[in-house]
Amino acid sequence: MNPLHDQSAALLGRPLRDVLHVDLLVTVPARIIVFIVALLCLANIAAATESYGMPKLDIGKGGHCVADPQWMRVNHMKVLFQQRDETVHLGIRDGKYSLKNCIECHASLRDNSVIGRADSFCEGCHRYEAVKIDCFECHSSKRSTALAQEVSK
Amino acid sequence: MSDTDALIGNTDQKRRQFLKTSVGAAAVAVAPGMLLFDMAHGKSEPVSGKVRWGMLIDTAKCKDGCDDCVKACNKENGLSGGLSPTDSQWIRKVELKDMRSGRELALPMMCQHCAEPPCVDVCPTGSSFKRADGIVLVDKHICIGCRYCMMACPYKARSFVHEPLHDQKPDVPRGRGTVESCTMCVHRVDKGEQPACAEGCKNKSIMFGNLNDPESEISRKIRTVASVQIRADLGLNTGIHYQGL
Amino acid sequence: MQARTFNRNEPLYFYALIAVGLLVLLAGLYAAHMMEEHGHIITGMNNQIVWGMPHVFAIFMIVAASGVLNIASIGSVFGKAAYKGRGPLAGMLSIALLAGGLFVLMLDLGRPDRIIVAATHYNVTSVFAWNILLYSGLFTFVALYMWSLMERRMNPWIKPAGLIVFAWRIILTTGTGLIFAFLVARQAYASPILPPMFLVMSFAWGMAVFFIVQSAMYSWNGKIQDPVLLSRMKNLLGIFVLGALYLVAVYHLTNLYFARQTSFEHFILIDGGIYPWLFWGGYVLLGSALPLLLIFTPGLNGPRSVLFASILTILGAFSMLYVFIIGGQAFPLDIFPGYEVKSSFGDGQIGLYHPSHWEFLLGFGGLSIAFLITTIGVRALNFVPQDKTYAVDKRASD
Repeated sequence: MNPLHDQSAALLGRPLRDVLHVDLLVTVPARIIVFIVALLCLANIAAATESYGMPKLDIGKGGHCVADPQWMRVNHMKVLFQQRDETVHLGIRDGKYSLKNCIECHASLRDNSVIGRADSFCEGCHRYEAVKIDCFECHSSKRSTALAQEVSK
Repeated sequence: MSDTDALIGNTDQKRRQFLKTSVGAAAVAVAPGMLLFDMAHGKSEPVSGKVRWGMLIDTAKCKDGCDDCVKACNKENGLSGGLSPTDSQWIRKVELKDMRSGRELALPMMCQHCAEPPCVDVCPTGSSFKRADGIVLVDKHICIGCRYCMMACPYKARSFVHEPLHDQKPDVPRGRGTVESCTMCVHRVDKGEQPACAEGCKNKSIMFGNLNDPESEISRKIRTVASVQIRADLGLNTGIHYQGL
Repeated sequence: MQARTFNRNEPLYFYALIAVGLLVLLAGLYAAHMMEEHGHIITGMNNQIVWGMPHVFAIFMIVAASGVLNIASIGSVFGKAAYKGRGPLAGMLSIALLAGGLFVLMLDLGRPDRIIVAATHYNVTSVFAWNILLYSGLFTFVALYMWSLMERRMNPWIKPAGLIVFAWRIILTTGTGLIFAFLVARQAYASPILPPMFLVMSFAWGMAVFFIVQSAMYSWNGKIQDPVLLSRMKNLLGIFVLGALYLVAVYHLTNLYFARQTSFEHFILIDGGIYPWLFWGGYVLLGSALPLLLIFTPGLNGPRSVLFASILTILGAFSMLYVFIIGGQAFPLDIFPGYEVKSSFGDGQIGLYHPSHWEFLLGFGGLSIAFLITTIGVRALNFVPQDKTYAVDKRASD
């Protein structure tokens, strides 16, 4: 007997109720459990669909971005990876995609930072997507002009 | 055609579809990279080996008990200034006493920015590197914190960041778990300024300049006065020279 | 205890051992987590002593991992029949120890989350980078070697696989010695004798570990070790311990001859506090002299003595590594020869190091990984050396 043949028959030839083992749902407790699980699944899907919009971000000064926002959402990491090597190894500090410049524009006007609140420019999306940000372990998250003002006060 | 043959034929179709989609996806992924390559050109020039930054320190002008250079470095680079064994010190004042003659002197000690840095040789990831213009740096993006460079440095120039940091200076990123040392204020040098210690020394004992330019002030002085490199016997050709040692 | 009751409860004892191993592993992982969250400030390491207790554990395990393969090499490369049956066990122990050592080493990194960076960014002049290749290579080649040993149809491949493993581990241990030998400015290191010293130490430590595991396996299975084989193996251990002691002596004697090294040697051998104690008491006396006595004295050298000698050798190994790694860092760098120095960064001062419990936990976590791999491996696969002449039940011989 060709086992492959058997498997295909199993999938195509058996009635759905056999595949789903409906025969096990004889007892009431089993039915209740299955019903609750199904309800939770539906609730989950509903919730997910409902909140599946973009998180609201505080874009700081905002204005015209250095590149198209959607392109940036997809490619900002690639851009930063290349920029950081140019700055550290070659000393090129005036690139369009320098992290300092991003923060200069996009830090919130309330707390001068790109992280810290749920709607902060970097934190908002990263929290939503559950991607840990490594940059600010070392880099300052505050705009440098504001910091300079603080120091001189 | 039997059911099996139909299945196999189906699988082949699915394979073809998968290949088409993945090649398409790969092309889309590669495209921005090709775009970025174009954008890379059109910025300022990268640093070159035509310049070699160095320092000449006149130990006679360095006053015992004064630590203006240390304070300036700490302020510029956002260091805590703490002196416990786990605190980072990028520059320190060393008090010396000649064991035979009893002569006493003081000098600032920082990363010597060697031309043949042992720390660069031993770093497993290449994070410790020498820039084209002679400044030895740690690329903290790829530092894994193994501390081998700290073992290798003859000058105890490097520090390890032992705890999470906050409120770093925007021009001087530093963080937990990576190794750091004097950067010769590379963020200032790239702007045409002097390192903070050279500028902060009231006695003008630290002279900073281009060792590769024979007409620079530092080159002329090194040609005329006696100066040494610390542990010159190791053959590292340091960028920091000391006068009066 | 009675052999019969032991045999009945044997699965229970096995699972108890596994449970203990897992608990220790968990403690080690917790220590690693704390170090990653709070930074190395919770350990005793600082800017003067940059490598601490975890490195003592890790380097012991990595060196022993290469040395334990000696037993396998004697069988497969040098053709001694009695050792051929021990090859698979030696291979498995090697993998277990290397895994444990790397566990400790990688989790002690400042940024263990960046391990992948170490694999993707490669500096060809760095011994650490070579080690990445050497360690992965050892795993691969030992696995292939074990396959050639344990599967009958692969037996023709034993000789070439054994040769590759033999050469590879010598290069690997040389690399471990070179980690220190390349440190040009430190008085404790920067010596070409370190690679051969580590090589011979690996033979001694590997043999000792093998002995302990073999004794445990024999005792667990109610067997007695063949006295002839025991005699040969214990003599080998003795020779290796002696050889290691010789190279350590040469290292210190040469150092003592150089005037500029005298103060360092004085520190390590006489007035450095814990370091002379550990060196003379821990390594020379307990870790070398006593084992040699136990091994070579005619009346004393039974299986119990040899087991004790093996344990002492390992204690000596830890003492030796503590003095070497930490003592070597505690002595200040001689940046200004001929000058007395003082500074805010520990120049001219002996570095102080108090290991924290986190570091010990991490180290023991690594040991537990080696223990778990060994215990489970020994139960799952056929590792008990089948000595043809002796398979006597312990009870029957009483």
